[in-house]
Order: sequence, then structure tokens, then C-alpha cells
Amino acid sequence: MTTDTGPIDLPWPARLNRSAQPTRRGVLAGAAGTVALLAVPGLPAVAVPVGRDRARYLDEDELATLAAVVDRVVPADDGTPGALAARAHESIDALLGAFRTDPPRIYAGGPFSDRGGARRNDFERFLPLDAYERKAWKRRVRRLQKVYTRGLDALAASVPGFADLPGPLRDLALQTTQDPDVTAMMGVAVTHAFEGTWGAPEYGGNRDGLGWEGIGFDGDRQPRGYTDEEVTDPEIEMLPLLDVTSALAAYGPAMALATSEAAMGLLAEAEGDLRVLSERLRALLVDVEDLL
Amino acid sequence: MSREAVVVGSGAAGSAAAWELARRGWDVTVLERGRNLRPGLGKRSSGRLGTEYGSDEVKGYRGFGFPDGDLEPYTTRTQAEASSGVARSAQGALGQLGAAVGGTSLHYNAKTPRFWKQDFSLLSDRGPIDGAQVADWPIGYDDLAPYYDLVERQVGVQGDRAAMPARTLEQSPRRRDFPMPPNPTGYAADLLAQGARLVGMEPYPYPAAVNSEPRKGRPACNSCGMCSGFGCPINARGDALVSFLNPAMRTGRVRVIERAFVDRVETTRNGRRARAVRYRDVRGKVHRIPASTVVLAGSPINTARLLLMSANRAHPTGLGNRSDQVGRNMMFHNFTIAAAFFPFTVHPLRAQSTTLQIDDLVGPFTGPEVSALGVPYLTGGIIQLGSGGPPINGAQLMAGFAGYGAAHKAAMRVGPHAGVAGSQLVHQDLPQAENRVDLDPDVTDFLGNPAARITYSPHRHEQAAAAYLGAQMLAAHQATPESIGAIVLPFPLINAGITYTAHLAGTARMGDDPRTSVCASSGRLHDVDNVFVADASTFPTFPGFNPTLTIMANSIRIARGIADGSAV
Repeated sequence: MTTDTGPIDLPWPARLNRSAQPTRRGVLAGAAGTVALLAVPGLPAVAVPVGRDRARYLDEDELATLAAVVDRVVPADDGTPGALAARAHESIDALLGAFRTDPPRIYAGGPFSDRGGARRNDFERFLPLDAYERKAWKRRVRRLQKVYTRGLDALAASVPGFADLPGPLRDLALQTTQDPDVTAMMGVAVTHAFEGTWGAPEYGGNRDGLGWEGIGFDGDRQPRGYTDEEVTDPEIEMLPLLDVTSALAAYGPAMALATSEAAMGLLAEAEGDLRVLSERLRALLVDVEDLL
Repeated sequence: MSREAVVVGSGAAGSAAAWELARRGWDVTVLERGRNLRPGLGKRSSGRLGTEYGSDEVKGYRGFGFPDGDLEPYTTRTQAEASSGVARSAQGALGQLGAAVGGTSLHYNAKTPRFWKQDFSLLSDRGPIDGAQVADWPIGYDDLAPYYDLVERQVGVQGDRAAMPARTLEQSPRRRDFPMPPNPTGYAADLLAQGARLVGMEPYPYPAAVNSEPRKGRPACNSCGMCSGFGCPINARGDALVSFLNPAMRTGRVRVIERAFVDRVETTRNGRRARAVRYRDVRGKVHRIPASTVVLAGSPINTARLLLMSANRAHPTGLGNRSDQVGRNMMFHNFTIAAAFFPFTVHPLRAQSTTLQIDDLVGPFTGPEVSALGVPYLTGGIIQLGSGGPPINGAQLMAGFAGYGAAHKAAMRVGPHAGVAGSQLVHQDLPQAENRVDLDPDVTDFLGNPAARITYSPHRHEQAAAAYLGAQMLAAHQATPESIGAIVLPFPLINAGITYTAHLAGTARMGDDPRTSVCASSGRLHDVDNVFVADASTFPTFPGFNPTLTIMANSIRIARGIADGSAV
């Protein structure tokens, strides 16, 4: 079932165009939608559909409500953009419409994007699914479609004008809602908003790498990787001390857990549902301070 | 005797067994429930294989290379839940157990310490512990040593013998140095090492099956840090596929059948010999492969499940289960986790992950403080030093713990990819009869076969070890220069159930006595002449070291016994 992509484009650095900066998508607004200019060094630019031309599932109102939701999950502040600017809502819509393109937009290709020095962006060529993956993902996407449309419709119905409310009022609405359709949606939407902010841009979010830039994460780095000097003697940047101490106070145990392989097990177990994860983490970590 | 074998599972154990059998002239069929993710498999040399993996965190959360939690659920519960009649308390995906050609080794952290001499004789040396089935291994370190040498060369292990502590070398003696020198040490790991030295510990480069220089046509690792849970995009990692399975396929004597869901080993009427292995394809169609030798290597949960699903008139409680030990002694490595926090970026992901190892907490420990914790002795394990976490991972855990929004976003900027350096103590897990895999009475996979149900709780020993050793980990992290805080999470103390790591063992323990063990030291089931277990199911105990090197070495040892007819 593998697409025969040939050997990995190595040995590095013989085939790496080192003079080329990692390319960023230049976005051109068009009447019919948006196209991105994909600048591949040495090749003519190729226009590929992104943004409004991607496969879609939600209608305009639902998408606007979803945009207003993800905006509260990762809000913009201090001039750093959040999930809205990263277009996380569009990445969620792309997942819900994944089977409207062939191959379905579930698994980005590999091994390299063009951000780490490769000449070609393999991530953009989504992988064909085999029968097993297709069965699993059709079920999952159908379930998610229901969760989102029910949740978004319930939110719009219970909080009229939700999408136009100021941020703090939207926070209040999301935090106090008892509507089971809304809470079920938030269980997955928070995780998806994170993926759409800090995941690979090929999934439709993290526009222009804004999400990564906002938190100082390098993103995917292959095939360039790091030099020995970058590993052993990296440039050190000071972090805002207040942020460090507040983060430690509020999130310390979870941050420690996130550095461990045990974290991936918990995440696999929760399968993207923040409510499940939350229940597990609270049960796990509630006693930690008493223990020490 | 026919020189043909059917191997169930293509991970670390299955690939190594297939390789050893093939190079001794055997014909091998490997059945794997996952699919192939490495273009060119079997057609090109391992250095020329492609990969569908990338440094793509989303793909990981979408289960790329994993069994699907809906189609192939596992169910779990704690011992306390089991005794109060709870059938299961969780259902779905189980941590990091992959399903792909090459198995979990495609995305393992590739750390390859050896077990120690003392690990093979814990019962004789230290005695029993209440509530645990502590046992000696029927083999010793010296039996495995030549296979350790062989596997280290074949997968390509980096390390530095000169930097290893004296006790490590005494407990795991090496005839020669590692095939390659270590990768550069990450900055975060180096900071933690300074703290550890201040409290008297001895960090040293962690042996790893990762190229630090070009070798066998595969390139050197360039320290991207996206290791554990990610497929290596540049093919620098020595996994089971590039090291064993692909070279074995290129002999022309090994074929791999993907998406083969094995559900039964069929035997002769009297049950003494296996005749065929039955599997279904993804559409449910039944296939049978006649077999004169069967090698089980589906990893402990699935090997136990297959033995239990293979029950028949001659083996009413499961194939080879006269001892009632099949599925019992399920062991997971619990991790005690520590982290230090810094007011500046320490780049924990900018290095081959956890580049340093510490052996000072391996133990065993005795004395009044230990007795006060209610155990006669306690054992710990290695510490892996200097880990971080990619952003979506951190974002989910932090939000799950204390919510999302502005504070969460601010914390992300200083989070597990930036200002945090973590480490993990890999705990020895003692075997318990009540920690077991059985067949779930109600839940099935998409083909209608019963799901594996895992009942598990850590033993008091693991909890005592977490309390006793967790304090020492915390001290090392608190001593780290320039850190402004440290935390320890003594996992076995705070978690009543499974710590979902990819390290597991037990369920078909080997031993000399058919009344208390499932297979002989040769891997052969005591009750069936031509069925061998080659994976970590055979481990009688589970010392606190990453297990893959030992899994591969033991599997090759077992396969060689099969091939030369010496297996008893």
C-alpha cells in the first residue's frame, strides 16, 4: 500500500540546496479563493489550492462559530497571534472534509516538508489509506462531523450571536455551558485547535508557521537537523521570568509529564478527548504536592 | 525436519528471529497485522529505503503506524477493580504499541542498555517478595552476551565504554567498545548531568541504536530530537526493519504478509504439534498457512491473546497453558518522572533524545529505610536524562491538567520544548499472578475476535521504589545549576493502573519447571513441540532497562536453537 517514493532524498548535505532559505508560503488573495505560491528553488512556482479552495464540510455560519471558539482556546495576546490567525478552524474543517479529496487528508506524506532544507515538500502529498485505515478513519470522521455540527449548532442556538461576542463573554459561555452537545464538541475541539495551531501547516492550520513562531518552536527540521554546535552550545534566550513561575505554579506537574514517554500513552488512551484526559490527569496529579 | 517457519509479528523479536532463521537457510513467512511504511521494503538495501514518516506530530496523534483504538481495542482495569467485579474500566488504544511492518521499533527511542548479571538471578540472590512471583531466568548474562555483541553490531549501537561506571561494566561486561561513538550530548541533558554529579551520580552517554556516523549505507543522526514516537525521517535509527527484516527479505527466503490478523494456532488432535496458523485479512477472509515450526513474536499482550484464543480440546484453557501461567505476570515499566525548570531556553528537543544515562538507582537497595517501606529489598532502574516534549503533546497535557486560554498560551512559550528538562527512572516491575492478560468476555475487535483485557496494578515494591528513589531524583534535579524549580512524579505511587509505556514483558515466562512456566529456555512451549515464543513474553522478570536490545538478542538466541536443532 505504500506509495513508492523512492529512497529518502539523502545523503545530506550533498543534495540539499543550502543557499535556499526555508520557503514560506506567499499567499495571494484571489477572487475564487486563495492560492499559495509554492516557491521551490530551481523550479517555476506552482500554484496549489489552500484556504477557501480546500475540501470543506462546515457551512459559513458553523465555520464562523468554530473560528470564534478556537480563538478562545489559543487567544491572541501581546501581539502574538493565536489559533484564529493560525486558521486552526480551517484545519478542523479540512479534517471533517478529509474524504472529499483523494487521497483523504488524514496523513501528510513524508519524510520532509520544505522547511528544513529539502527541495520538495513531501508533507503536501497526503498518503493513500489502505483498507484498514480507510475503515477506521471513515468511522472517526463521520463521528466527528456529528460532534461538530451538533456542538456548533447547539452553541449558536443557546448563545445567540456567540461568534460576535467579546472574548471574555465567549470564555464565560464556554466555561459555563451545560449543553452536552457543546461540551462533547469542546472535548475534541480543544485538541484540534492545538493541532491547528502547532501542527504542520499542511493540515490547514499553523498558517505561515505563526503558531510555532509564537512559542519559539523550531518546527520540523529535517533533513537539515542541527549542527553539533547547535546541540551542545545553543544560543540561549531568556524566558519571561513571570511566565516561567506562573507556568510552574499552574502547570508544573503536567509540564514534567509532557517530557516523558508516559505522556504519549495517556494521550493515546484519551484519543484526543480533553475531558477524558482531564479526568485522568486530575486523578493522577491531584496528590502530587501532598506527596512531596 | 522441514526448514520452514511461520513467525507471528514483525517487530523487534519477529524480525530478529526471521533474520537468524533465513541466514541459516530457512524459509520464513512473517505475519504482521500492520502495514508497511517503508517504500522499497525487500527490494532495496536498507540504506536505500524510503519512509512515509516525518517529523509530524499530528500524524502521530492520528495513530499513524498504530492499531486503531476502535477497530482493535484493548481493555484495562486495576486489580482492585477486578476483585470488585468490574469487567473493564477503559477501552481503546493502548499507549505506544505500534502495528506496522517492523513493529514498535519503527518509532522507538532506540535506547539499548544491556540487562545486568544480577537480573538473571534475583530470586536466588535476594529471595522472594510477598505477592510477587519473583523468579530466576533459566539463562544467564553469559548466555546472552554473544547475542548482545551480535545485535549491537547489526543494528549499529553508539556508546562509550570508557565513560561507563565501574559497576555497570562489572554487571554487564563487554568484550569490545561500541561500534560507534556517542552523538553530541544535548544541552538540557548536560545541565541535568551537572546536578546529578553534585549529588554523587555518574551520568554517561546512553547506548543507542542510532548512527552517530554514516554506517551500512544509512546516514548519521543530526540531532533533530523527534525520536520517541516518531519514525526517523532520515533513516539514522537502527530499527528491526532496516537491521533485520529487510536484509532477511533480500535473501529471498523471507516473505511478509501485511494486515494479517492471526487468531489461531491450530494443532494436531492430540495437541502435541501445531499444524497451521490461521489469520483473517482486513475483509475478514480466513487464510491458513501450514506450519511445521511456529514462532510467536507479537509482543506480550498479543502473544498471550493468541495463545488464549488458540484453546482447543487438547488445550482447553489456551495453547500451552497447563501451568495456568499464560497471560499472567504481565509487566509494564513504570516511569518515575522528574523535571527541572529554567528561566531560559534549554532546547531539550535539540539532541538525539535523552542522550545520557544514569545507573546509580538500579539497586538493589536494602536497609532499615527500605524495610520501613514494607519490602525486604527494592530495585529501581536506569534514569534517562534530558527529555523534552513537542508542542501539541505539551499543550494537551497542560490544558487537560489546568485548562486552556491565555495562561495556557503563556505557559506554552516556556513549556516542555523550551525551558524544561525532564528525565525518567525506568522501574523494575515485579511479576504478579494477578497482573494478567485474558480475553475480554464482551469486547471484540472488528473481526469479532475477543479483545485482550489487561488487569494491572503496580506492586508495593514498585511504589516503595518510587518513594525511595523519587526523592533522589528530585534532589538531583534541584541541584541542577540555574534551575528555578524541580518536580518529581513518582508514577507507581500516583497511578493505580498501567503506566502506558511501550515497555512490556511477561505472559509466557520461560523456566525449567513446566508447572510454573509456559516455555523452556529454548522458547519452546512445554506443552507443544513446535511452537516457540521469541518475544519479551518469555522474560521471567523485568529489570529497569529499555528492553529492545535484550528482546532482539534473546530472539536470535531462540531462533539459533531452532535452526541448529538444539532447542529442547
